Amino acid sequence: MRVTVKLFATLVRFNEGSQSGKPFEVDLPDGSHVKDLIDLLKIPPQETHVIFVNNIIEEHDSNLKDGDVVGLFPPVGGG
Amino acid sequence: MAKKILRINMTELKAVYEDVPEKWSRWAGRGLTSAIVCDEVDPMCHPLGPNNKVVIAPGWVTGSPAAPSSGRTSFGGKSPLTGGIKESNAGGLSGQMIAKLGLAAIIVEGTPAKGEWYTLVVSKDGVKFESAADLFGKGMYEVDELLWKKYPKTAVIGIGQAGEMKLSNAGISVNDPENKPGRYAGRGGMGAVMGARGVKAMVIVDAGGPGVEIQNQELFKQGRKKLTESIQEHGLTKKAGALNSFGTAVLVNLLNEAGGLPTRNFSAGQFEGATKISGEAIAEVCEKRGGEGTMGHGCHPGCIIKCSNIYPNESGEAIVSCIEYETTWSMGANCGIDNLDFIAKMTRECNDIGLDTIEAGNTVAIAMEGGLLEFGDAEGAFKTFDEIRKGTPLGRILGQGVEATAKAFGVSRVPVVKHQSMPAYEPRAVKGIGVTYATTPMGADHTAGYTIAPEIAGVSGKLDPLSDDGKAELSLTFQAATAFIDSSGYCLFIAFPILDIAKGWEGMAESVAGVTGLNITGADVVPLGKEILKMERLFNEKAGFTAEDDRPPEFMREEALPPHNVKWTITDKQLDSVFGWVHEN
Repeated sequence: MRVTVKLFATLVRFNEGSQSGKPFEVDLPDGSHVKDLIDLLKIPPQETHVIFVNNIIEEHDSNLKDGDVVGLFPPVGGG
Repeated sequence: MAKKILRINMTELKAVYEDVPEKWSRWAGRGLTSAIVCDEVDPMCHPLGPNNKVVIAPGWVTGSPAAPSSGRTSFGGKSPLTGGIKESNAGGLSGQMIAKLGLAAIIVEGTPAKGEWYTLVVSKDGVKFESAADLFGKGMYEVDELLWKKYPKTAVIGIGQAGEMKLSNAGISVNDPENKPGRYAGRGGMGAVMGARGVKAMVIVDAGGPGVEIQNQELFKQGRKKLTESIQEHGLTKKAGALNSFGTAVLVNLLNEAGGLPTRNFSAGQFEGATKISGEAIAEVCEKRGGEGTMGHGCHPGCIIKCSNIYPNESGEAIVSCIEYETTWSMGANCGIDNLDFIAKMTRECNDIGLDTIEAGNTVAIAMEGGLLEFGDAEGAFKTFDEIRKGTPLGRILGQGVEATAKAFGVSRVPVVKHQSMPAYEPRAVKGIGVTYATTPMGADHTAGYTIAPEIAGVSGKLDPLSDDGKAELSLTFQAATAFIDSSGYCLFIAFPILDIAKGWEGMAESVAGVTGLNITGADVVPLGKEILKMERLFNEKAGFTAEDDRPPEFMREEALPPHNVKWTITDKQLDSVFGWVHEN
């Protein structure tokens, strides 16, 4: 399956030449979970603090399917 | 030396020092401004009339040696925007200097002869009433500069033209370490209340002041250490963490992903230009243009989070400090504008004229919906601010904020609660923050109970933002903890580490207990916060507020918000449960 990935803030460094929020595509074996994607991108799991799949907050063990859009954030906040 | 109240009477042009009465002795910051306003301001008074007051108070630990990120100043009174009680707090230089003068609070009351304007110079020797005739009509950049020529390295509190005109969106400016305006007690029109007292500016000279007494050094040091460590350890507040690297605007992409970034006057929850106005984009501009541009700027001495920025023009000269999340959203996404340079220029206009940037950006969005200009028209949006500065009839309408402008332009999608417009989180997509907007005594205000922490940011646990469950209780707990933090003098951003790291919560309470000698532990934070909320709710009741004022606007129940296509579904009964306890024994 193929998913679209967006990395934000400090996580951009795990995709060379990328920009925050710029979508790119990743191929994964069917049945993959969010944590498999994070491993493939070589991101330490503890750095992915907020995970969105299709604009819904999900967890590391959430299932992925073809066409999903995944947004990954480090700890961020403000006000 | 016991702390004093400095009472400044603008009718008689006299100032007296008073002992802090027993009934107020426990409070500081927001708790103290609200206690004084409840005791001394008639809830039915006209906010711009002779019976309203400006009450200014530093927090419990403000001005104490090296308490981290604790420079807040609270400004209280009856709000011309909401008609209820208001506490609006700011960073900048004033809090620490007022505290170092040994003052628990400054109360400004009375009205001078018509047309007279004053600069109040507050020092260890008392108050000098200087004519502000030479400052009248000037914006805050020039006022700060002129006052530092005469009183260098002082705190300057002041109002721009908006406050002089007593517009409901006028804020109170505090200068930052570079003597620039931009640390605003922005919300609720407190600048107009200061203007109604005939006060253009206040200069705080802390030289020779007695300083802040620490009642229990050991406990203070222990608390300070725990709190400092928790700030330095947390991913959000540590050095090179999200706030330090990208500022508060790091939230733009997060809320956009969550479908909760209000766009084009709250008609959608995602903005296609979000990445262009984000904290990451601001950091990129600072890096590329260099010069005076920087991230990681501190708004007051002793801040260890440093979430501020100085945004530069193409030549590297500072345009403004700082572009906050709220500002880049209100003037960006909510107006359909994706141009950071224009957002910076509009922010500077707000800081100069003396306007709250949330209400100002939302007002431009209303004017766009009402047909004065098109969504996305950055140049046109920028020009509207000069109308306010000049006090043209159009400018005076815009300077009243969202609700007045919506009436003037026949707009029915009006995102306000208690007449104050909503900040940068869509209640339909993030339900808990909607409960806070609806029920806080302050009018729609995210800082009053920041449920975004667990609903979106994954701080203090994780809750589904789209669910209604448990959000009334959640909001109340956050509102109470916030009322305590707003009284401490600590920046609200310490909430992120102390909610996640237990020793930080304890440390905050211990440092407050150490400075004040009050018997306060972490377990007292929420109960004390509720006492403050109760005072504020009762003031509002006497000012005429009922349960009907604790409601989000009608359109949020009628219109589904994309991308989640959700409406506001929390019941009125759930909203009424938030403060049901106020009248219980």
